Amino acid sequence: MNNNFKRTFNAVKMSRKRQEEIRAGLSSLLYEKHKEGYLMSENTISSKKSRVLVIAIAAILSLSLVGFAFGHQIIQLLGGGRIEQGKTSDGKDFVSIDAGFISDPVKVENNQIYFILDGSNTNITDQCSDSSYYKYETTDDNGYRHVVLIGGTADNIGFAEFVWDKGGNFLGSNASTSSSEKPEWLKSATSKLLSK
Amino acid sequence: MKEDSELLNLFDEYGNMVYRLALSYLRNIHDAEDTVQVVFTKLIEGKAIIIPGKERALLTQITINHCKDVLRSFWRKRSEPLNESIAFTEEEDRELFSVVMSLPDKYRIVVYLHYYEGYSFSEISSFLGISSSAVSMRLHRSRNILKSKLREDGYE
Repeated sequence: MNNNFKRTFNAVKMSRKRQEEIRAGLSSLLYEKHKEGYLMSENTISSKKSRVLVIAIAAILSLSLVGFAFGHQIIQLLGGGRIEQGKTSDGKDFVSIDAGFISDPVKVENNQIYFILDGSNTNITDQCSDSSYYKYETTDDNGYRHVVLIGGTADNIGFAEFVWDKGGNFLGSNASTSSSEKPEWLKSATSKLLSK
Repeated sequence: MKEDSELLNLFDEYGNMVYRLALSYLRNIHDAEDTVQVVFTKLIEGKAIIIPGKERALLTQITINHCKDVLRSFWRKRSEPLNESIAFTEEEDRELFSVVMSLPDKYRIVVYLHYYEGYSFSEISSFLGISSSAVSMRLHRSRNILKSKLREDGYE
């Protein structure tokens, strides 16, 4: 069946027209990014709902080197996205992050903020402001420690997730905020979490 | 970050791979085409770091993640017949495709990744976030279903 399987799925291709349309769209996007001077230097990216700030790509690249004894691994973030680390075929260390929150860890109703990631539906409004945040912490089945933070106000909510391995080595983080400026609550939390 | 020409070369080389994987996952041509666009846009936006020699695995992982999002999405487009729009050279290929695509989601994607893309159990286990034994079990069950259905259809 293997040969037939290969032949069968080899026939599955995009239409030439659609392929050219997508390629043209990507080419145009690359051109726009260059025009904005955005491609090489910025670490802010846009999403449908909000500005997503990948705050720790630099930190991941430098800090996660301590954890490379584990070989190839993919760490699923609680809020969606993944961190992958391992070695390339030529033995070089690498780490990549597929950032972005798949589902919001909170919901906002009647100006109240509810934490829903753990299914608890906890009202956390009083703990969240421009300078303060709600903190949720858990360890997954593989021993990775995840800290999820919710900060900001009901109309300006932001999320962040930080991950450490079993040995306490910081692996990386990603955050979603409503502006490209890092908010006070996130600056404060980052400082506390990464200074330990 | 790769140069523009390298990113477009990646699209030329892996665009159909991403499409096939997305189609196998989502069973919808429009969703699969949208997935191709989203996956390569993510690379351009720098949401994933491309490591030389790891492009295929990275694109596979991003595609799987996106397909999972799509399957969870309320806005997902409705499924539509697939066979008519694909130009198979042999009628039995159409038959095989149809039977594979009729497998339950969790079996179909494992079958595709193993038999077409040639990924090992442990690689599939990493991609899908399940154990290797679960991959093995799903493949075993898939093979039984496929054999049974293909035999019913008189497939050689």
